[in-house]
Amino acid sequence: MKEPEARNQLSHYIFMYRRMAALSIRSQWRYRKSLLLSIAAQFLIIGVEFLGLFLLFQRFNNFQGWTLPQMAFLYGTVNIAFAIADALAYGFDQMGPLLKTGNFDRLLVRPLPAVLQLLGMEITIRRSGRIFLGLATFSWAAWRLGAATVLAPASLLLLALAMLAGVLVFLSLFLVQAAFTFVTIEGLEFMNAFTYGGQQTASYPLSAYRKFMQVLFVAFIPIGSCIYLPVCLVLQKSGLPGLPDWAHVAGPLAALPFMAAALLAWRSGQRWYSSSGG
Amino acid sequence: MKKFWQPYLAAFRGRAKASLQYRSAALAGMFTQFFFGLILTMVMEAWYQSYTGSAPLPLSLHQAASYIWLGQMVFALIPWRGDPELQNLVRSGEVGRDLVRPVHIFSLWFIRSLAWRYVSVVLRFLPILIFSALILPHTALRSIALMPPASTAGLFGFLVLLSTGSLLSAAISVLISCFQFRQISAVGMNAIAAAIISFFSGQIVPLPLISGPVELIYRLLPFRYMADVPYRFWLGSLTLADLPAALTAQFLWLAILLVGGHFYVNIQLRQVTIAGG
Repeated sequence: MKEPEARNQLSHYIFMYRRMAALSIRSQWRYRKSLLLSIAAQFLIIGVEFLGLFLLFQRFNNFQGWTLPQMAFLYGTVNIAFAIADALAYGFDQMGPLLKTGNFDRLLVRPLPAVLQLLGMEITIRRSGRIFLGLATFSWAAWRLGAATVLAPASLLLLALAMLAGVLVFLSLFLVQAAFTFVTIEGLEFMNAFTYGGQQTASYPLSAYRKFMQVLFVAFIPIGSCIYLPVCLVLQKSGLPGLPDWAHVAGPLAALPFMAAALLAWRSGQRWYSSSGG
Repeated sequence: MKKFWQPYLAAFRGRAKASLQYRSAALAGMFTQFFFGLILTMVMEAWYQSYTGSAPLPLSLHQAASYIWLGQMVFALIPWRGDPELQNLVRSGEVGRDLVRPVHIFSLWFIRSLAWRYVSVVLRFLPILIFSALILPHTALRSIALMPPASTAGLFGFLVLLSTGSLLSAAISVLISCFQFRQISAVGMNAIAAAIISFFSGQIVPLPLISGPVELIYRLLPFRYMADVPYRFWLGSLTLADLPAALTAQFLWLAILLVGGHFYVNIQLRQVTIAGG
């Protein structure tokens, strides 16, 4: 049989992914009550985080010259990106059990890349509570900051890129975590420092941290380059000292090498893997 | 004849031993807590540097950073969620086996939960203490390190309240788990409890920094007695003279939760259906 052309293959992947996503959403909708409760709960969790930010603002009045709407804008952008990645990464999260039971081998015999199958395993709607709150804070901030600053076409384009890049970086982090599981079998909790910790770090202006933390989140885990730097540009804040203007625009591009590295880590993990469990 | 407390002691020992098996998980969790502690204290430092007002702040930076480190230290004591073991029992139907045991069911669960909490705290407590109080002061991060207890009396109050606070914490985690008799999926309940308890125990924002209506609310809830109140003894904002009042409040809440929990569980058990088989 003739090998399908690359383009056909891509559209096949997209078709398959959409099938898996639709199935997953339909199956979760069966448990509506539990689902809605979970969404509400997620909303509450992020809600208290934001309440904390609001209360600290009442106490301290400003954060390194940032106003509450400006902080909410950054906070919303980061949380929307994280929420999307978190909802897509459910399969990566399941690597521990998959390996232990030997079920991962079933993925390997199917004619579809394992990464894609993990991505399609479940689109976790219950984690979307964070998206709603992210959207809410983002819209409130955009309204308070005025449409002229935020909604200019160039700003919107930059923001869309920033969010996309943010999703890719968070997804890559979850993928690295999954790749580690090939070696350790047990899920690695220390990676939470970088996934959830990354989300926590990026929710505040990066300028708040000591140098080594800034370097970590700009150069090594580029969540800061992807979201903080472009947001600074949109809000006309001075970003990190010593970084040129072009770095703020080009920041989101840092997601690409990071994603490539994560895929490489995954690939070597998968090559190393020789079944387990049964 | 066997003493009445023997089965409870055995339950405590059994759960403590089982919890000790998860040392590597605790180790991994510790790294996450170092990291979160660093992030949170750096952000706190930035807040303090941004403050230009003239009114004095309720805590110094050193106190606020210490509050955050103490929170990381006793992280495992805060009942973020129901007891996972108990929740699994309910989901799998194995809870039926507990119900036929000739013991007081709420006490049994309470004791087991307590053992789990004690072990998780003991495993994490010391490394985080060493990192934040002994290592950090010798680095460039000394301004956000954990300060030593304000006084010996303060340390005493901290330790006493923390150990009694763990009773409160175990009672709350059993109660959260018992809500599951009504709703099989634990995810939603756990998340709601985590949100409310983490905020009102002071894990998200140091409670002394909060004033206004939210202060009224947190003072009316039991959650601060396992975290915020003991921390204040360490920081020196409460002294030995406040200890009797704090202990009374703790035990009052404990009594309410235990008695309430006992009746709640009995009512729930009357209509329980064992799922699975």
